[in-house]
Amino acid sequence: MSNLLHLSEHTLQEVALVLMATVYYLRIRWFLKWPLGKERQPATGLGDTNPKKGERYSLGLIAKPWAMESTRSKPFMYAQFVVFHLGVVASITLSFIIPYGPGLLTSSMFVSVIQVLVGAACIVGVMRIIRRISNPYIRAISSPDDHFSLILLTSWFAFAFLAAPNDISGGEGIMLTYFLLTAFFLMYVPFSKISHYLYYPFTRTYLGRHFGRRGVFPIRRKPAYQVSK
Amino acid sequence: MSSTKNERSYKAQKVIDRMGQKLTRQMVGSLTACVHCGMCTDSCHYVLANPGDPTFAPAYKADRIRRLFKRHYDWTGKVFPKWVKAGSVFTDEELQELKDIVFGKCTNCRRCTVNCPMGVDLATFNRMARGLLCYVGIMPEGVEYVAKEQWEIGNQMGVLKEDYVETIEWQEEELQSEMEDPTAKIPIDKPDSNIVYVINPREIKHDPRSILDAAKIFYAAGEDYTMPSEGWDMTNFGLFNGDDELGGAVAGRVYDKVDELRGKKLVISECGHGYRSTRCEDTSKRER
Repeated sequence: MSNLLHLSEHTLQEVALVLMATVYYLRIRWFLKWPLGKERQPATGLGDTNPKKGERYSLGLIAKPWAMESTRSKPFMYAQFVVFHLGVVASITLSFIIPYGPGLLTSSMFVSVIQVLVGAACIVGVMRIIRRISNPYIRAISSPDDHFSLILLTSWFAFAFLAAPNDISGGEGIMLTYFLLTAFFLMYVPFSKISHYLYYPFTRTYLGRHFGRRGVFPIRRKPAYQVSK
Repeated sequence: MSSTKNERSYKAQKVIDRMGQKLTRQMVGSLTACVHCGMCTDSCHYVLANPGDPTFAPAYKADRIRRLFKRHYDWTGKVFPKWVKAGSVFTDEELQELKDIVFGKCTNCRRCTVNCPMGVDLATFNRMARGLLCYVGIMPEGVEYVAKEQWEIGNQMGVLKEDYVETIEWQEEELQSEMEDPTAKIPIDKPDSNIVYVINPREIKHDPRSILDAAKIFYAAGEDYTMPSEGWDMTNFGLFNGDDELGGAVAGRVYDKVDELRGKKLVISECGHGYRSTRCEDTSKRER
């Protein structure tokens, strides 16, 4: 292994992680400085829910595609979401396994699992790029950051797929590109929309608390007269 | 006063400054978390009614407000404005365009909110944007008219006190005739009543039969009630136009009159938003 590859697998990743953590810390601190809005409406609803129940329901919606009309009516979009995000997890995991636990990659089964996950995510990424360009509604709301983030992640998946066997016998180009992309990804994420997961727990919790207080969440699927008080 | 692109108009500057005072953490979360996935698009009835026009998409409408937030209150938009589609307003014409979106292309129904995977609550910051525009006097003409009437006369249809009292007296005569009881009354400003009954100005101005119908119910029930001579408008355009001060003033007048008459209960006539606004817009924190 060359010094350059070693540097990009270790020091560069560590610096990128520290930078990402620092910016995330500043971001959260900035976010929490905004005053929490107060509820003006008295608690309403049938009494079978409350803000806490609303919060739990709201946070759990990510795993309940049947609960929201938008995901219920577009199961293929939901499946894409799952595959894409599993790919992100697999690719991040790979970036730690290669430098710190390469023994795991001697298992061809393990390598195959990683490759299936990031490969499928890469295909979804390509589909999403096409959708973002071809769908007039999505094109109208897209910013340069939206396009770039998607292209960046899709490319990263492709190189993760190629890097997963951890084989540099044919040259270090693929590994080097994968780790440079990973470092760039880590440093770019806090400045881009990719950092949406940072706000997700907050937005879903606040919304769930609000709708729980109003008796909206959890959304009930039976007539009000059948709901126990 | 309008202005050029190089110089921000007085109203545009006021809108930007006011935004910083009105933003809450919930709104900032919603303004920051959108990933432009487009899952909200089909949930909007405006989109369904205007197929092929992406400017009706909830995320597109939200971005008209979001761009201001990003440009002035989020450092990503301050440093890389074009990269994240951040932007500002400079002229009154641009504020008029924003008015057409926040008042004319969104009803704050929240269907997009309950269908957003990220929990982005467009309605909350859309209402905030309405309030910002109202703050500088930019709102739809009809809304401006009724809001002015509520501020200045005390009810949204500008009904004068003498006309109101005269209409109630006319309905009282109708009640006596229909009930064949010359002692039947629609009391006005009767202190210590069990119920204080407030109404929608539409009933006075356009169709007082609903006042008579309510009076018949009170009569049949033998209820001890009164109608107030002031503070009787339970509709509230402050709720609609995002003007929290107006919302507080209108709801506050109703409760002030209940307190003055020492009424035990407040009953309001039919009005979907009137029920909510009367319960929620009063900012005096009094017990009720």
